[in-house]
Amino acid sequence: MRYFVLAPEVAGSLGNNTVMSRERHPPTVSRLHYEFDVWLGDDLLEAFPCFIVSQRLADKVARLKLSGASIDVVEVTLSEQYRDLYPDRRIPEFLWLKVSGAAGRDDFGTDVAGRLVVSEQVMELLKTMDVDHCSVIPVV
Amino acid sequence: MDFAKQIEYNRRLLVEDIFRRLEAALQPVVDALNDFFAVLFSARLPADWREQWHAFIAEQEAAGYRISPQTVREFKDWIEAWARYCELLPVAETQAVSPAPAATEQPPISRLTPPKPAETNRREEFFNQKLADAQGSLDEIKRLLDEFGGRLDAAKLDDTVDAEAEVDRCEALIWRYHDALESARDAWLRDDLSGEADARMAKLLSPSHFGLPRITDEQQDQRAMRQLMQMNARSHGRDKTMDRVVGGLEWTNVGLTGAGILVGGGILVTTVKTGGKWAVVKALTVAAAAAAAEQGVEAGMRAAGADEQTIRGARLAAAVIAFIIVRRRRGLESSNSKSQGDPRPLESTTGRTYSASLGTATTSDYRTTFFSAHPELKGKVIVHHAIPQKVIVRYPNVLTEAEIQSLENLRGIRKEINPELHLSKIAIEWNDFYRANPIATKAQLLQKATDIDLQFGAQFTPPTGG
Repeated sequence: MRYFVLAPEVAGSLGNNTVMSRERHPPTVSRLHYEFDVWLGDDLLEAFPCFIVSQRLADKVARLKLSGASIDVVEVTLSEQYRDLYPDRRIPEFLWLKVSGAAGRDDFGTDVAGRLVVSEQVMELLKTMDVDHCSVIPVV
Repeated sequence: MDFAKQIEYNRRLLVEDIFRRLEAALQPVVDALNDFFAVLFSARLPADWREQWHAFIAEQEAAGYRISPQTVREFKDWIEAWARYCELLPVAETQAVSPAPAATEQPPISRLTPPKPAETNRREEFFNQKLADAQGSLDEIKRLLDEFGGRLDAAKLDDTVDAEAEVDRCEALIWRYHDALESARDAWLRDDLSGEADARMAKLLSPSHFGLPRITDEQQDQRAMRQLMQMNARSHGRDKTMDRVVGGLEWTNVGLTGAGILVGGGILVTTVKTGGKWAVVKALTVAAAAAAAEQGVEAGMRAAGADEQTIRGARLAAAVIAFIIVRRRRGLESSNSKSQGDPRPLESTTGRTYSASLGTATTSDYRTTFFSAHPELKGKVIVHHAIPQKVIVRYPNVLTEAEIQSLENLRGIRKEINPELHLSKIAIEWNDFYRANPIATKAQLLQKATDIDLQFGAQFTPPTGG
């Protein structure tokens, strides 16, 4: 099985309503608020140490029963910068991709630096999505 | 003891280690070859597949790999045979006489899979030796920092202290440290060694404990990452403690991204290049030592058993060496860098060197602040923050809201130059910063803003970055 380290598009940052424990690094987030600053259109986004996915990608992740991640709600807001950039642009619904798997074992995992590591199966899925701004490094 | 057996055994270990290095060196070609075949066999071969094959070989040779003509021929024959077998040959070639049934033969690739000896204790000896080698490199680093620090301490104000040899030596030691660990990890993976062995490896200090860049070779880092992934995968389901051990290894390149803090943010370092070699003017590097202390140099030196005087000197030495390594790398990355071969002192922050700064805002409406200062830009630029507003969420109590919203922290990007692309790249820069810095000081945040201004400042309106 081959694995890939992904560096998804960073479309925003953790918002003020995020609840995060910084006792460990990467920090642990128990409530996620993602504030969009700029969005190039990808279905998979990051704001260290969290990942969010579009509803359509979340549906496929759930349907394929991929291991190492679950879907949860995320509060999404738009920053002033976002509204300056795209006065009329709305964003689709996004959900929190909570990654709990082990890198190199599960379909979704994170390495010790919190980078997303996915299986071939996930890569195949992502090829059907918009991930033009996601960098991919093959691992094995 | 059976010396002949021992010698043979040691010889085999060395050969295996050479194999591993060869495999690592050839991995880029293997990856490219895999990609080439994946594309080639994804559909019927194009009529010019032979030209494409030779173009691919030429590309690899241009990258520095020599591929023997015989190998090129053998692969070409195999491609043709395999395509014929899969009925993927170009239509024009399908009329040709079918070749011998060699079609199903595999390409002439021999996998370098070393045998597995039974004597696990001897395997552990090899592993232990590599850990000792890594520790030896760390010990040498410590001695080097101690000696160089002593020399810096002894230098008079405004003296120029040569640093080139120390930097070279330090870079080599960092590389050797990782090379030894790479061999150790390889042995651990190959011979399925114990979790206890890995725990001992994880307990080793690293160059970053001394305030030095953690790595100096990104390919080495990539290979280490692959090993870690494999170790991580194997450890699951075997030993719960392995998660902690593997998780204890650090990946963030804190040293390299953070070393730039020695310039800017009000901290002064003057390095000089004399006759193409790096040196340091001592008086100004004292400030650099203070910055290095923030990176935990003292903790690393204490853990390594250094006394207080050594720590003071080593702190200074590590700061200087880390700074020069990073500057040198940047020089290599940018062949037309103005510092290349420049015999003049590099500008300090008191001169023309740029450094981001913060002021104090009187309102939280940052766009009003910006357009009050630049009314002619209203409607023409997107205003963003050099240090993002949300660092307050990441690093509470480091900066104030008034500082974040101050004019000094605001940048404009013209709407007609596709600002979202630049803003997206800047967002990635900050994301990487958050990953690399569990905690951050005001100086580090300003240094990151300085780096980004220097990289993107020409796109800003008004331009920033000096």
